Amino acid sequence: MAIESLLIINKSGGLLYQRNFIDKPPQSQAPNQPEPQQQLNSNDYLILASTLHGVFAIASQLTPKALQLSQNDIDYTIPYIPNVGMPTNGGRTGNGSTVGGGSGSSGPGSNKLGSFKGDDFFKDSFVSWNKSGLRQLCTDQFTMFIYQTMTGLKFVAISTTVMPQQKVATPSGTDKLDRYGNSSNLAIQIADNFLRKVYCLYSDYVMKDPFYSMEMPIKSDLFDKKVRAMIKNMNE
Amino acid sequence: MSRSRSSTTTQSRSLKVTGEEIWKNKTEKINTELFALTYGALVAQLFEDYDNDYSLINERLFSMGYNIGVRLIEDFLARTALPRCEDMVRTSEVISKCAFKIFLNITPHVTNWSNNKDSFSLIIEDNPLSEFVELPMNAKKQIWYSNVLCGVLKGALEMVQLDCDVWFVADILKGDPQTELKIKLNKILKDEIPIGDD
Amino acid sequence: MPHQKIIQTSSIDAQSSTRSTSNTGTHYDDLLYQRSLIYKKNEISLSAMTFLFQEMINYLHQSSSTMSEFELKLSRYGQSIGLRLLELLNFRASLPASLTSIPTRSSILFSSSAPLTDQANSNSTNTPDAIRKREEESSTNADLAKHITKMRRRDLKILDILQFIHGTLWSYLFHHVSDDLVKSSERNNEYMIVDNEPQLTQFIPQSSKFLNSCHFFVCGMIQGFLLNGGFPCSVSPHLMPVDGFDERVIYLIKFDEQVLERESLRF
Repeated sequence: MAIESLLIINKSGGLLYQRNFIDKPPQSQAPNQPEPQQQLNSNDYLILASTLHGVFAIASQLTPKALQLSQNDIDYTIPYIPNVGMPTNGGRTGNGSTVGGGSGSSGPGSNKLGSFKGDDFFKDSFVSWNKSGLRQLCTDQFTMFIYQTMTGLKFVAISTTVMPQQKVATPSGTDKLDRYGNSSNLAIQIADNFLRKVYCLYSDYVMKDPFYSMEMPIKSDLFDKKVRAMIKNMNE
Repeated sequence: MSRSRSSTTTQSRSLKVTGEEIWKNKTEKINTELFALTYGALVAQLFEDYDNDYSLINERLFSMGYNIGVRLIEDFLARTALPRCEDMVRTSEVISKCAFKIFLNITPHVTNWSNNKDSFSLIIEDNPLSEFVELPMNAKKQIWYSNVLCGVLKGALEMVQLDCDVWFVADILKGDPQTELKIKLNKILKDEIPIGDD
Repeated sequence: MPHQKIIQTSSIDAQSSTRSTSNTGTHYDDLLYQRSLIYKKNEISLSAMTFLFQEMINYLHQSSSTMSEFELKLSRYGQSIGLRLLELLNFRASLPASLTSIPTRSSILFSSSAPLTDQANSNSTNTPDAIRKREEESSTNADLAKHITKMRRRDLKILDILQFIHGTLWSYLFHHVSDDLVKSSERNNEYMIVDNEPQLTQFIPQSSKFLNSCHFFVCGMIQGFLLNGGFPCSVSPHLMPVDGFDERVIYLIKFDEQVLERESLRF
């Protein structure tokens, strides 16, 4: 799944972060794809964020509970999908090994995950906090995935390559077909895995930045860099 | 009834396992003493800046903790992805077995429940903040040395829509037999619970 | 001023003599001195540390009107820690290996849960178990002083104390020795300690104009350590990224003239 755009929206609908990740070279664009329309300006994105925030609230009025349809025992568990957004060959080795003698930090340099130990941010399935809200929004042009945290942050990923009707191979074995259901479900799960990792990056590179003021736009170049690296891994 | 009780115990056991597992495998660590010394330097600075006005220092420590708490909660949730707690009993378990475990590698004992189960105490042994600390005689009566913890809990709980009061009732540094911190739920901020999270 | 008492060599005798433990406060304070001696290798999360560091920076930043004031204050924090660590680490380095290398023994004898529970259930303090534990504890503490046959000699040479910082201090603080220790080829009073991946500042944006200033905390620790060791100097941070280590920082140590003069007097 290729992620083209990422947004972070705060609990009151304010836009904290927005980046596009489309690799620029225009010649590589498929011929049948129309030229992207004019870029949105920052004001457009602010409006987009608050609109999405509102749509999200309205959409949750359509949930079975609100419609008084009883649907018990819904499983909100998101399976852990290995290596989403992680470097493919088990970690790059830092190029810094040429640094002079007396080197003490033996570990590989640049593939550390901040305050998260190990080669992935988490390894277990987890329960979605977004139970009755909007999780996925599909049009013929794009698919949007929404991950909401318990504190009310929304992480939104936009992809033009995952269409709900598109078949995606299940990661392992056919016995899991039921579990993953159709490809759309799998796409949601991959997106949730990815967006939770962006949340992890946020908790390190935004929350632990002493010069970041809460509820303000995120300007950290480090956060940017880490998110970009993760999306690059996703898109490969 | 019995069913719910047994399910609570299995839950709390698994919280213990969850906390320990995340602490062990998913959390980068650093020397406790560096942490304690850094905090000590900060408190010492406050003593200077606030000219030994202990109530102001307590307040300042609390507000610093609050600033930390509203950020730290995101780290905690991203790391654990724990679902919302259904009641304060569950909340107390998460705080003790997961939050304290993952951040400070201690598991305070939960006790002294109020009758309506809206307030409880945490008995903190091996408080890493108090490492090396001896309070000056004149400050001993009035200073809550680890008050930052109350602020952290206050801020973090507020971010998950629990309006609580958090305060110390005893501290071993003051000559008390144990260090006891109290958490009392005022109300659940229902209006602020994110839509979709119910 | 609360001060964090790290055991000093001179206070050992006063400590080891038996003092009444009937008063809980005194008992705790006694334990404080005894327990601090042995490195228990306790750890907390890097997150907790960086959140504290962040709030500390935030506080200082608000209360400083200029950048240099901020740097000075942050450096003073570090210094207050560094000068304590010189005493602490020297002392611990003097403990015989048999006492420091058996973590189980020390953790049993010095775990605070033992004395705390004793105090908490004052009714049960006189159970044979509790008494035995306490006796065991105090006897070992008294023994501890006896075990030190010879204090580790203070480092007197520039290179010796820098090696101690590069090795012992750095491992204590950051779990690994520093990435390099270099002498300036241009000025003979300048030395550099290199950290490829500084831990405390790793979440601060590189684009931040304050990033370099935040390194003054560690600078202060180095400086305090050296000052207390009798090596007056100034320490400043310099961001020197290399390929693969974007956050690499060099702590530049400039010794005062007197240090070099003394160094040359030795034979």
